[in-house]
Amino acid sequence: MKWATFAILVAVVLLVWQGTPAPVAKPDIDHHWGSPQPILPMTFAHADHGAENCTTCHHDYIDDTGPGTCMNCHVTDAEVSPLLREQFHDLCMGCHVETRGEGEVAGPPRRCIDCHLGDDLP
Amino acid sequence: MAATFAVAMMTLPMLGAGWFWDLGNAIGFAALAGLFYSSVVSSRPLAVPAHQLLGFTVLAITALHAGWFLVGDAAVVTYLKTDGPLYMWAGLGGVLLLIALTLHGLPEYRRKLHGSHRSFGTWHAWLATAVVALTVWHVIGSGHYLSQWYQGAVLLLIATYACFGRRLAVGSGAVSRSTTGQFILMSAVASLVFALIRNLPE
Repeated sequence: MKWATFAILVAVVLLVWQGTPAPVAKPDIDHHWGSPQPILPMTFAHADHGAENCTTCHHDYIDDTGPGTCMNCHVTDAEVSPLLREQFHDLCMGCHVETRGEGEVAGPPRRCIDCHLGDDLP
Repeated sequence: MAATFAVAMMTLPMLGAGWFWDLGNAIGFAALAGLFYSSVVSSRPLAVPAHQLLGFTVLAITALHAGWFLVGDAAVVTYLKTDGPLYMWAGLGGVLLLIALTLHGLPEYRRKLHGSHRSFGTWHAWLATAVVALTVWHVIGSGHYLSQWYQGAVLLLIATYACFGRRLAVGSGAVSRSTTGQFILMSAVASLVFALIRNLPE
């Protein structure tokens, strides 16, 4: 039991340090959209969201907080960028979970890689 | 086991996120149930070899839960980078502390580290409580299945009962002792049912 416990310890440390050795789809963690820190790519199927109210996501249309794409502020702005993960998860996953909870079709609600391969990746 | 899974099913029990995600998390809930169970039945009289085997089994199930996501989804590891959320670090901390707890219970380390059995018992109980606390933080903080405040409150009650109500629980006969084999079987069945309910074809 002792050696199995040590083996589990080594496996956990290696997985966290080196990532998965499995032949699974891997995200290209890089300075996407001018991010000062390496971040995960993100997928967004704009065409699939045509039925949504634009201002649900594009809050700048009504609160005049900044021009350009979402990433202009949310990835590069020193005040907003630390909240990137929390804000986008709340908005994207929150909406997908809520919509699915109402029994309607929605995008992936949980699995990380479903959204983090990036738009230009398979 | 039933109480832990019931808490996770209190809201949106049919909301599936795919077999990979739901089964991986069901394994995590089974590990959490195992933590609660091994804590609640740890009062005397204690069959030490059985308790050690149960502890190792809970560690193995916990490692399966963590490894499942880290191996199967290459994006998950970013949750454990320096800017990751604290509740994910709490989960990793829980795994590492559980490894320490398992080793701490082995006779060779127990005798080296403690002069008396009383000292060992006190340290072991508090280490176990810390593991439970970190794990509950991980589950409630991630909020994937326990999105409502009352689910968190019920889970905290169960955790408190498991850590501090063990004499009451065993003494009253409210908890019956199961073998490790029975626990593994219950974990497998509960995990499959949990994932199946959430991923039934519409």
